[in-house]
Amino acid sequence: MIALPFLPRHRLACPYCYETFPEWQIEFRCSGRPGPGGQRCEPGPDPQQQNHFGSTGDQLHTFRDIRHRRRSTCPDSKARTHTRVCPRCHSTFPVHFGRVNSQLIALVGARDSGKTVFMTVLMHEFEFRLGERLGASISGADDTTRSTFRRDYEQRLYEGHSLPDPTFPVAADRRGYRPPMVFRFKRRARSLLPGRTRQTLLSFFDTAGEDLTTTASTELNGRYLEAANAIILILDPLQMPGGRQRAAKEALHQDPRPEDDPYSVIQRITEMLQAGHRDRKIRKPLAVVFTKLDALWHEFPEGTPLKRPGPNGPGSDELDGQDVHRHVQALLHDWDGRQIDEYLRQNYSCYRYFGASALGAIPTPDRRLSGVPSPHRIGDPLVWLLAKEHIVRTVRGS
Amino acid sequence: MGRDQLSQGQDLGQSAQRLDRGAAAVAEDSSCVGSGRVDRLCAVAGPGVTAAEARGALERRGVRVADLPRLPVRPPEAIGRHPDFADLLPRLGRKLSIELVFGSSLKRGFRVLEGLRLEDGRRLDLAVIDEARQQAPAGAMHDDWSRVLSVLADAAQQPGALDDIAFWEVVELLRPLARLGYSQRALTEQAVRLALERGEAEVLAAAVAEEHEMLQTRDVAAPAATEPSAPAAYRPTVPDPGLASEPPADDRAVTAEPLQPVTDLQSRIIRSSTDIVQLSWSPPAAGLVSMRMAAGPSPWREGSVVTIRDVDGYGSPLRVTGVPGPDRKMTHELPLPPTRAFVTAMTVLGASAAVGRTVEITRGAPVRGLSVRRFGDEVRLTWTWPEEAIAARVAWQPSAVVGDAGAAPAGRQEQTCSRRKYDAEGGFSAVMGYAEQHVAVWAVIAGADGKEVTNPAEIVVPGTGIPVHYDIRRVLGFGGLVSLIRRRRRRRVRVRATRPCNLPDVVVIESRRPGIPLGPDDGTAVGRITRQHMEPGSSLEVVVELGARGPSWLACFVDPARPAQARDQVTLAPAPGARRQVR
Repeated sequence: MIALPFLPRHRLACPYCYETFPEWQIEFRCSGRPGPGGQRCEPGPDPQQQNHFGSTGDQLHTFRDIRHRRRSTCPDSKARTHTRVCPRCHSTFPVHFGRVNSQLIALVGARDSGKTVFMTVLMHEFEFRLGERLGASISGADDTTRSTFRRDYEQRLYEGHSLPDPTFPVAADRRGYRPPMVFRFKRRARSLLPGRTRQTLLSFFDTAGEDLTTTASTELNGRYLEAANAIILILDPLQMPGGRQRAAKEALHQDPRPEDDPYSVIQRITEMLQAGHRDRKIRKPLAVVFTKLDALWHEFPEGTPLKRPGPNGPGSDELDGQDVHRHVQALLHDWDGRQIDEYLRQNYSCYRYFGASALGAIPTPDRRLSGVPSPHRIGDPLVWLLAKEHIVRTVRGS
Repeated sequence: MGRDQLSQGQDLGQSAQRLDRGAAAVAEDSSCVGSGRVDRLCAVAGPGVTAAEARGALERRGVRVADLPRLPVRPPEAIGRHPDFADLLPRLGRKLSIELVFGSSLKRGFRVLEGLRLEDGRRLDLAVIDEARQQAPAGAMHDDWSRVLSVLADAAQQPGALDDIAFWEVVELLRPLARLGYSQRALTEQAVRLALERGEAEVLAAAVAEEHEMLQTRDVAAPAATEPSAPAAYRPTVPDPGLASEPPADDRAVTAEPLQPVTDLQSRIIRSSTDIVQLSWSPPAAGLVSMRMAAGPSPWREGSVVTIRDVDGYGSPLRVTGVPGPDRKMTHELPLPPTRAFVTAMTVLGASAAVGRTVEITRGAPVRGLSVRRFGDEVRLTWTWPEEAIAARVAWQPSAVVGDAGAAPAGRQEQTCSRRKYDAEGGFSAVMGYAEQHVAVWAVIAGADGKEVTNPAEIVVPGTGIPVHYDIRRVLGFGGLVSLIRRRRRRRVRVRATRPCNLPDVVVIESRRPGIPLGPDDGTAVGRITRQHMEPGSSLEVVVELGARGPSWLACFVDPARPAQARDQVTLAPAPGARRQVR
C-alpha cells in the first residue's frame, strides 16, 4: 500500500497521474471479450484519458465495482475482466498495484541537466550491475514502460550512441506528453520462508526542464511533487559560474541560461512543495545529484570520494555516502554555490548530495557518444532513497 | 616526293603515334606529371619529338605538366630531434599534427606547397597552437596531445619550420603507399582524403610517384648500392630475402656488440582501398633483422638464441626493405595477408639468430579509442569495438617489466570480456593495483577457422600514489581531561599506511569553511608530520591544538612546498567515514 504523508493510509496515488483516491474508487476496464450471452463491448473515446494525456485513441469503457477489488464483470457484456484503471486518468494499473509498496519518485532539474539520460542509465545499471549488487531485479511494470524504455531511451543511448531529444514540457503540448515510467523493483525478502520476495513499484516522473521555468505548468508539476515520496534533483555544475570555469572546454557547448541556474531551480521546486503547507522544513527525502562530473574529472585530486570506486555492498553505504556528501558540499562552495547549500539546510530536513556521471565521457556537440555510457556512481541516489524507505538495507562500509 | 622524304614522313607519323600512345598511357594513371616524365615520354616517342610536343600531347589528354616540388629526404630538424614524435600521432589516431591544431576546420581543405595554409586563409602560427593547447582534451590522450602541440610550438620559433613539418608529414604518408604499388591517381585520392587541395594533391602525388620510380630504377641499375654494408661475416649462411636491407647505418660496432633481439616489433593496419600492414621496429646494435611470417606463433621464447637452420625451418621470410623513420625506427609495409599470420623478428649474426618479438596480424580491425580512467586501484577501460568483434582479451602487467626480453612476464594478468558484458557494464573494469600498468586489448573475431584476435591496442595506465589514510580522534587520558577542563580544542591525527611507502611532509589544516577543506590553502596549518618511511599497518600520530572556537574542519594534505615527485608517491585520504568536523 502507498504510504503518503498527511493522508490516511487507505488512499492510494496513481503512479501515472499522481492523483490520490481511496481504494474503493478503483475502476475496471472491460476486457472486450464476448460475455456469456455473446455480447461484447466496442471501444470508444475515453474523455478522461484524453483530458489527461491528449488523444490516446479509442478505448473500452470503464466501470466502478465497489464490491470487488481484483476482478469484476462488465455490467454490459457480462465478460470478466481484471484490468484495473485509475479513477482519475483511466491509466491501467500495474499488476498488484495497491497491494505492494509504491514509491513515486519525481526526477526534477533544469533544462539540459541530464535527467532523461540519468534515468535511462540508472535503469540500465539496475538491470545489470545494481540489481546484482542489491539482489534485486527491476523491470518495466507496464507495456508502455517496457516498450518505451527500450525503444526511446535505452536503444537510442546504448546502441545508437545518441542522447535523447529534450523532453517535452507537460503543459505545452499534450501530444508530446511522456507519462511516468513505472518499474517493478523486486528483491529477496529477509524471511524464514524460502523464496519470499518483496516488490515495490517505482514510478519515475521525468519533468521537462521548461516545466520548472513557467508558471503555466507549475500546478501540474506541483501535483507530481506533492504526491511524490521522494525527489531526485538533478543539478548541472556546468550551469554554475565556478563549475564552468573549472570544466573541460569541450564540455561547454552552450551558454548557461539564467532561468536554468541551479539556485533558481531549487527555489522554484521548494516553493512548489511548500505551497499550501505550514512554514516548516520539507520532510521528503531529497537527493541532490550533481551530474556531468566527467567534465570536471581532471579537477578532483586522487583519493577523493568521487574518485573512489562506487560502493559494492548489498545496500546503501552510509560511510561512503557521508564522505561523498561532504565532498560535494565542499565542491559546491568552490563552484560558487554556497547559497544552494544554505537554502537546502534551511528548507529540507532530509537531503544528501551526490556526484555522478551518467555517460562517463563528454558527448560531442551534436549530442553523440563515441561508445556506450560508462557511468560512475549513478545508482547511489536511488539506493539511498530506497534505504530511507527501508526497501534496501543501510550498510556501513562495504 | 622522294624516298627520304617519304621515310621521314613515315617516321614522323610513327613518332606521333608513339607520342599519342605514350601520352594516353600516362593519362591512364596520372593527372599531373613533372618534367622528368615529359622527358621520358620524348625518349619513348622518338628522337624527333620535342618536349613542347610531348607537353602538348599530355595536356590534350588532360594531364597537367607542373614543376614538381623537391621532396625532403629526412624529417625537418624541429621534429627530427624528438624521436617519439612519430609515435604520438598514431596513438592519437591522427595522420597529421595540424589536425590537433585546426580540428575539423582542416577538413575544409588546406595547401602545403607554398607554406601551410587553410582554405579559409588561416595559417599555422604560435597563436593558434597556443589556443589549441588550451583546448587539449582531458583524459588519456591529454599527454600525447600536449606533447605534439608543444613540439609544434617549439618549431614555431624557427621561420618556415611548421610549413616544413606539414609538408614532410603529407609526403611521409604517401611514400609507403607508392612503395606498395599504388597508382599515381590512387596516391592523389589518398592525399585528397587528407583534405589537401586537389591541385596540390596531384602535384605531390606526381612528385612522390616520380621519386619512387627513380629509386626503383636506381635499385635495378645498382642493386649493390642499396645492400647493407655489413661485413660478410654477419651475412646469413642461407640467402634470406627477408633480411632487412637497411640496418642501422653508422653506429654499427658489429664485432663488439652482442646478439640482441628486436623487442619492440609492432604492427599497425592502415585501412584504405588496399589494406596495408605496417611493421616497425628499432634496429639492434648488431646483426641483420630478418622477418619470418608463419601461420602459427614462433616456437621459441622471445630472447632465446637459435641457429640459422632453425630459423629457416620456421615460416617464410618476408622481403622487407626497412626505411628508417624520423623516430630512428625501421618501418616496412606489406599487403594485409588473407589469413591470420604471425611475424617474428630475428636478429641474425653469423650462424646464430636471436628471436625477437612476434606480432599477430589478422584482417580484423583492432579496437579503437582505447581510453582509461582510474578509480583508486580499480581501472576502467573503454574502447570502440570493430564491427565484427565478439569479445576482447585484456592483458595488463606493471610497466616496469614490459620489454624485459626473455624474462617471464611478471605480474601479467589477462581476462576476456564479452562484448555483451562490456555493453551492459559500460566498459571493462579490473583491479590492477596502484602501480603504472601496461595494458593491451585484442578484439576477438569469429574467423573461418575459429576465433581470431586482432592486433592489440595498447595504453599505459598511469600509476597512482599508495593510499595512506588518516583519521581524527579525541585526545583521551589525562591530557584529554586537562584539555577539557581548560577548554582547549585538541585532536589526535593518526596516519596509517596500507603498504610500504615513503610518506612526504604532511600538513594538518584547520578550516572554518562550511564544507571540508579541499586543499591546503583552504585553512591554516595547525600541525605537521615530517617525511619518513612507513611500513604497512604502522601509524604516525600528532596532537594538534585548534583555534579557540568551533566548529571547524580538519584535513591532512601533502605539504605543497615539496617537489611534485615526492608529493605523488602517496595518496593521502581520510579513512572512509572519518569524522573531520570538530565542535
